[in-house]
Amino acid sequence: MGMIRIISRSFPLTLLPLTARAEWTLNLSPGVTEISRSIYDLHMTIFWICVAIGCVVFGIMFWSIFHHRKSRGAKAHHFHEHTLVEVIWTLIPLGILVAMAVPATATLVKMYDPKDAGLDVQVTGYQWKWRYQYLDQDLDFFSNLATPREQVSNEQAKSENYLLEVDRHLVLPTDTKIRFLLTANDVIHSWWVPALAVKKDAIPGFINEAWTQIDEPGIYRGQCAELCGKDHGFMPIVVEAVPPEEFQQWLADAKAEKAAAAEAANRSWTLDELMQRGEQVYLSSCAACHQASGEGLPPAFPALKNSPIAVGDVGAHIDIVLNGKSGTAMQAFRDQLDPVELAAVITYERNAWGNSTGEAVSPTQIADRLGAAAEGEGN
Amino acid sequence: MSHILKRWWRTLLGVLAGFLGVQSERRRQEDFKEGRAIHFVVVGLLMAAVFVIFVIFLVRWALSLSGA
Amino acid sequence: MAISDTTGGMDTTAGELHEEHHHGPAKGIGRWLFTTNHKDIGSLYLWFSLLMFLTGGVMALLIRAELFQPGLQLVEPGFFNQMTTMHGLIMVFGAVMPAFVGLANWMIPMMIGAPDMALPRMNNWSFWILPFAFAMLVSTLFMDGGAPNFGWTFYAPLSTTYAPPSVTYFIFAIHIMGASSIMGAINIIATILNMRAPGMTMMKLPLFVWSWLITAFLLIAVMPVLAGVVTMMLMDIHFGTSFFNAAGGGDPVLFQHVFWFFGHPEVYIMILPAFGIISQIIPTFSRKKLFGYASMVYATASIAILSFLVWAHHMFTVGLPLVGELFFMFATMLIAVPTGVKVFNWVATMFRGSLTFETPMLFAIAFVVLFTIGGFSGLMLAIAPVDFQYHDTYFVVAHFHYVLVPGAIFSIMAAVYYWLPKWTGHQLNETMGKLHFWLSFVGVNITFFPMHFIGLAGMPRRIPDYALQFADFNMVASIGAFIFGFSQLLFVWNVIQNVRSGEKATSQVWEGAEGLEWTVDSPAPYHTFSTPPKVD
Repeated sequence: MGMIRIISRSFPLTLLPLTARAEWTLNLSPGVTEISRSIYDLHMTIFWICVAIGCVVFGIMFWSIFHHRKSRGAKAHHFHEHTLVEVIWTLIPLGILVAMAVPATATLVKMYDPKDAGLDVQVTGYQWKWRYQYLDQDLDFFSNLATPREQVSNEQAKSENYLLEVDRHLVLPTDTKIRFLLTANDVIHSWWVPALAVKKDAIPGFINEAWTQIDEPGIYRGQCAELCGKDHGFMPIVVEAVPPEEFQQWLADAKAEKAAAAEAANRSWTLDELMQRGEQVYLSSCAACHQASGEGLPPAFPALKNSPIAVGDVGAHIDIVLNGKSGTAMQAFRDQLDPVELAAVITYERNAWGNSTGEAVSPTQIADRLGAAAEGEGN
Repeated sequence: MSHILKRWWRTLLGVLAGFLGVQSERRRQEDFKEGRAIHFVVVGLLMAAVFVIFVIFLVRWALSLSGA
Repeated sequence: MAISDTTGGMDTTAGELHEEHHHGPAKGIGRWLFTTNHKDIGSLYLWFSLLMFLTGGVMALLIRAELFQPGLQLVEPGFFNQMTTMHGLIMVFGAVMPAFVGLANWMIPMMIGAPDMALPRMNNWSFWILPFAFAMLVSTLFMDGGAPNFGWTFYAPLSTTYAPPSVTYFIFAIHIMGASSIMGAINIIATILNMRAPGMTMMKLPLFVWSWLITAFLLIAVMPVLAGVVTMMLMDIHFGTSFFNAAGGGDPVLFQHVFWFFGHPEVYIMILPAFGIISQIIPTFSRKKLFGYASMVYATASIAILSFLVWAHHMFTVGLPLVGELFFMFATMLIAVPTGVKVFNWVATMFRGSLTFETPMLFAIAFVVLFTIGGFSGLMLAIAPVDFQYHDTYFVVAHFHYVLVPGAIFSIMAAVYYWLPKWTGHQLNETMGKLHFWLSFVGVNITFFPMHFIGLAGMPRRIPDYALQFADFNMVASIGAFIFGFSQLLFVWNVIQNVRSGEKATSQVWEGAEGLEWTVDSPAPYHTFSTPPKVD
């Protein structure tokens, strides 16, 4: 069943001190937005209220534990009700909480006001990655975990931002009101960046709203906060906040890069080139389920090694990668990867782990296929 | 007539005491001697509905104050 | 635990003085399979719950072992999710709830002067379907695709469209558990309302009985809701409906509303009997009547209604409209205070008493302190804007473990130590009991207190591996978990030792104990109160 996998060779390594260490903290971070700071203040206020109440209650309790013990000759007094005292000790905390509700309501009202945003970003949760679409900017990309699998399995020392690093950051301008539209492709995810105090569930079939306005440039890391399956712990979020001018530059660069990638699809690629590129793509996009060894985790995640799809008809193989398989965890990758990446990864799957079809799938083949499908939809 | 009204009034007071979480022993004795369980259940459900309406108005009032 | 009724020759001589002991239990396995005796069934529930507690505990230790260091050492992420799911389900439905039902079975008839439960055959049935439900649930671990892996809250569509095939067994197991709980609840209500000894008016009911009466009504009200939600899942999975499937026009958030409509009262189902137990134990060892008995009864009764009005505070981040957020925040805050201040009543009971600190009292005091800490973090979680930072982090894990482990579980242990001499006829071994208490107390705090810190620092719950800044406190928590986990073996040893031997206990057992259950012999004869006692 393979319920428990002992990674035997990893044990000596785990006993070594971790090469990278990160400072631990005890408390919530005040964050870098107005909202996150007011949340932090609310948090500290209610915390100190609890501490104060705790001191009184536990103080009285321990006082009687000490003074009213039988071994010190204490005789029980026979009182067992006092309605006025009870009413008072109920109304005081009630009053404190009502007072607490006032700033809480004010903060909540602000959090629910996404009006006048300068930039709209659609965030879509996938098993187990995030997709960011800059609406009205024609820019759309996926953000995958960048920590190598070897670090997770303790075969390599862990880097400083272990499990909190991605291949493409969500770059956002500072001092701009940004509205997020959140949804999901498969199950419920939750997009959370503590420093921005934004946490909102991404739910299939729903579009949720949230907003932020970042005051300081910097890199802010977060994670998916709603259990979303096997790799729930492996879909981090990295926000890179840059000044607005720098953001415009980045936007232009990103678009140029996208055009260049489209251009690359038109040249011819050798089998070796495709295999090399394909391996990278496979490891970041496919290995979470089908495993680096191609053996998968059946029955949920079938093996690709010697699979009828990967060594069979190439058309069917392209089809399943492009369009996914409904009712299973196999996603449609047509929007997630560009034609070069798609061609490379299909080529890789058909030629790795002893799948020796020797076939190379060219990026133009994929582009044609995608073009034809797009035309079909157009009609 | 006034006797019935008084009994319902007592029940109402008992339910409100429950919502606050404080009741005196004397009142409790009276409630259990004179009150009927079904009255408490009916009034309890009614007051729960009143509580819901009260909180809804509280929310509306808070929203109108904050201008949202 | 009632075994000693039949085995100890010394014990039966004491019992023979009473005519109610004219016939004893049947012999052999048949005694347990066909029993309709409330004490036997109570013991079955308690032993079953102990077994489940240890099973769920092993799963918890596996989770904590994996989280001891960053990186994956022991288990795959998929199996990790199966462990968190099964741990939650087994602890909630297999350990805590059956333990309270077991205590109710043993103690309620003896506390109200009844000869047995009102519906003894149904009592047998409601216990005996439980082992089948859990055998089915646990068997999913060995199935193709593994056990349920979607968390004990089983949010759709992860638990429907994307669930492993074993989810169908899970649904069936939940149905059986629900049927068992409903039957148990009906039995308890029928017993309390109809079987009280003459003179045992509702006004005189011990608080444990009161709290169970209200809990039983809650159970009857919400278990059908749970059954409904899993049935909707079943329909989605096998019969082509789309209750929770957005692609078919359904609504994944509907699932959460229905689940938490069950789930929030369920929280009270797991804590009200604990309130009852603590309200029995603290007066005994303070040698003083409970402070504000009337308030306790009224507050508990109003919880039965008000706990249905706050469910969406578990869902502050799903995108409720502002009006909804504010409603559930206000309602939660308003309701929390009158229930939370009951802690003051226990403190006032101890105040100016004559305190001694036997094992049950130690557990009860720890309950009051640590449950209050869980209550404080609960208050913090009620503040909706701040909940956006706390939600689904280890802060929440710390919160609900504080109310459930040193809350519900400590109360169960306090109850077992408190009533064990009555069940077995043997005085408690205080040294061993106190050793168990201190190890548990220290272990529980080392385990769960650091979880507040890692939650605030930003660690989401239900992840098998984590970033490096969470490493230190995770290691501390894991060490605490192993201390807590292994010290429970002492509990098992204490109970078994007490069943087998020990100093002869008196009827009253504890100096300050009051109530009908302390008027019968220790061990309690197989049949008590065949002739109703007179209560004045």
